[in-house]
Amino acid sequence: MPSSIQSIDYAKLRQDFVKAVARLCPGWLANQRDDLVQAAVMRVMQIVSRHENRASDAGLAASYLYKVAHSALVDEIRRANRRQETALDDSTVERVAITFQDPERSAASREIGRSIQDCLASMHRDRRQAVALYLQGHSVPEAARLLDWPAKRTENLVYRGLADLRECLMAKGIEP
Amino acid sequence: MTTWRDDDAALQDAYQAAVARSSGDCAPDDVEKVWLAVTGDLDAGQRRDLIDRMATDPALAQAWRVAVELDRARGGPSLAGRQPTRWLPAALIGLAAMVVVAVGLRVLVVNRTPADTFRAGGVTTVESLIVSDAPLPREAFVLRWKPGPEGSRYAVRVTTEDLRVLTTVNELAATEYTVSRDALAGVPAGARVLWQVVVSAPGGETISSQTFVVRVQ
Repeated sequence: MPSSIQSIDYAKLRQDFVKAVARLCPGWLANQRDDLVQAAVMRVMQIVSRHENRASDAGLAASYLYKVAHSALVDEIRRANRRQETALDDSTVERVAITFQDPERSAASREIGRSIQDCLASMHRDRRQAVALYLQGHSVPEAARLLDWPAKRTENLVYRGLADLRECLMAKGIEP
Repeated sequence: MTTWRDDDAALQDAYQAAVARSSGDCAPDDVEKVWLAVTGDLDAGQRRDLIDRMATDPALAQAWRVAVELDRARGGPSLAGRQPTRWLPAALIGLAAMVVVAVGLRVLVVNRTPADTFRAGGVTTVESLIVSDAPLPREAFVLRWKPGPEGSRYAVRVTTEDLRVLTTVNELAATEYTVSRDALAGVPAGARVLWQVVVSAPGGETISSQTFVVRVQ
């Protein structure tokens, strides 16, 4: 096993997972956060163990580790979401602790989300990209860096894209 | 001059709620590409293509959010950059989305000012000094945050998870606020309490914090 892999700081990785999950994890998964983090760490350990010989130097190992960690966390969050959906479908499951799992609310939220995605799909490509990053919570400077465009151009595209989005939503009966 | 609107926040909330609930699959290659894009290891053209697909693919968008937050958590020098100053737990996002359905995008659960996160571009962030989800005793329910620019004034809003306002305070000079025992009277032990700080800097800039979470012991 390469020394860089041997020296993986799983405690740090776990801490990073905890931080990320605390920001990402919806309230209705709160009770599962610890399990989710633990499962993701275990998954990383398994994957690293299987692929340990592929990492040949410290730089590669660090990059590899977090790439794997990202993939593991995505999988575990998805799994948790699926479990949650299953639980909601199961009338025998106790719902008391799931404060925000109102099916009507979830359905309404999904419907709006779908409408936004439909509107994005019909938008001019440049505007769609800029707006997508904005909707993800990125600032203009961040979006500009990610798109490799000047900040002013990015700002204009976001602004115009949001105007398009509002217009499209209005046409669907959702009035901004 | 570009003017950002309050209802932009509702659009963000609704989109992110859809993303947060996604349980769909995306190809392992795409997940890897997302990580590479966020960390700046994908060329700009491929990055734009990926972002374009992400716009309409909730699973890909979720992978993107996970990458951004994991990279921030590890302190990576990502293209995504700084931690945003505004964040809402998905529980609130879900509620925001419901409000949107009920009364249109005009009514929001978040107060935004002209100098919101987006306009401020991450110039200043408001950070809690309380560990997220930490239990605080009722008799010393002290919320603390890092100071803004010298001379700043602070407004604090404290709510339950279902957005029942427990207390609000304005024009604070101190960077801490003690929630009274009375204000917490109806909150059961172990319940989560959400709080948010709005900093008014002497120059007139107003910056809202993300929503922080603590528990009542």
